[in-house]
Amino acid sequence: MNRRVGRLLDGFAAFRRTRPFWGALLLVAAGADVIYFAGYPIFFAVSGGWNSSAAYILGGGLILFGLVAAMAPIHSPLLGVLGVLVALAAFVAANLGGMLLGTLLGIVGGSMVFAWGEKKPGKRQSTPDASTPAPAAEVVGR
Amino acid sequence: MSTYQPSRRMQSLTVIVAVLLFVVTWLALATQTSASAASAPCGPGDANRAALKTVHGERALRPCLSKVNLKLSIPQDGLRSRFNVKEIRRAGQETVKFADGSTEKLWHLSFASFKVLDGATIRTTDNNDAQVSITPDKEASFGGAADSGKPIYTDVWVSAATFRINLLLIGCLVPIDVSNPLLALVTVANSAIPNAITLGGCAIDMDIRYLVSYSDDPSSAGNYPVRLPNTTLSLS
Repeated sequence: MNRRVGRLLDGFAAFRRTRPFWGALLLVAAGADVIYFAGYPIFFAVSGGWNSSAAYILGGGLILFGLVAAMAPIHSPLLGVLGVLVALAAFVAANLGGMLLGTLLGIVGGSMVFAWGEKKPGKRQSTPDASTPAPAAEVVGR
Repeated sequence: MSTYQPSRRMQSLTVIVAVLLFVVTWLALATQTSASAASAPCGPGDANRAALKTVHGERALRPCLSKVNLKLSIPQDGLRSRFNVKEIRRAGQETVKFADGSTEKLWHLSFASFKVLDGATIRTTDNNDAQVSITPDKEASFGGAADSGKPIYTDVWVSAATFRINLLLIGCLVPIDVSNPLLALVTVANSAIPNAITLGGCAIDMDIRYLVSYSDDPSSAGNYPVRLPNTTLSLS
């Protein structure tokens, strides 16, 4: 039983380390916040034009980009930028971006997604062997 | 890349689909907005607003009128007075423009106060299933005196109206249509002796296209155009 739980936790850790998990989670939370604070029922929002549907579009966009960032991590820089832009648009169009909280979560989450770099899927990152000689020089930057 | 991720091609496809979905949804709703702006309620430039004037003070009004009627009904219950109306005047028939550009001749009435003594129902013609019942303990009033004592007049534009009022000797037995010359007589009397005539009535049916309450000295403390003390409002 314990081994099973441990395997699940290891699997989740590997899942989390191979994608921008926390940034994506923040983007999803930002989208949910923007939709929640819009206060419109969805049927009214769909029939009421842009003013009433903006929160669903922008909040839905944040959730979408968050989920896609988790599914397609190699495109996380693009998705992070889109998340930040949508979060900023939500501030203008959707009830101050869900009372500001949604916009803040979106900016932070989008930035985290943008800046994400893949880690190794193992439980711990392997420490460099002391016996292995350090490289004489490293290329910094791209 | 680890084994926990879909292939590179699948990830690219997912991103493209997601971005396209977002853009298409956005554009679809933006188009909907511009379509609703094009079909503004009263036509381009608000050209289809009605041009109305109140009986007292000739205030100019420019409402945007739908063709939904507000139907006010007080059914007859023997010869009991169920409402009274003070200073009722019939200003005549006016051609009124609607939001869709069509016109209709409406009767323009004005009164200083309208009191429901027993019970009345209000519903709109766009929803026949629901109506609001007004059941006052003593009376519910529309109009009346403002805080300053000046009257709060109410003007109504009706497409049809029938009253059973205690007028002359006919009592509540004969329904009087809004076009009946007797109302012209009442109007003359009200103009000659303002603030004098209050008519009681047993039943009323009014198809109201538009109504407005106004006063030279509006209330700020408590005497508002609609007063419903100890009145039960129920929706059925």
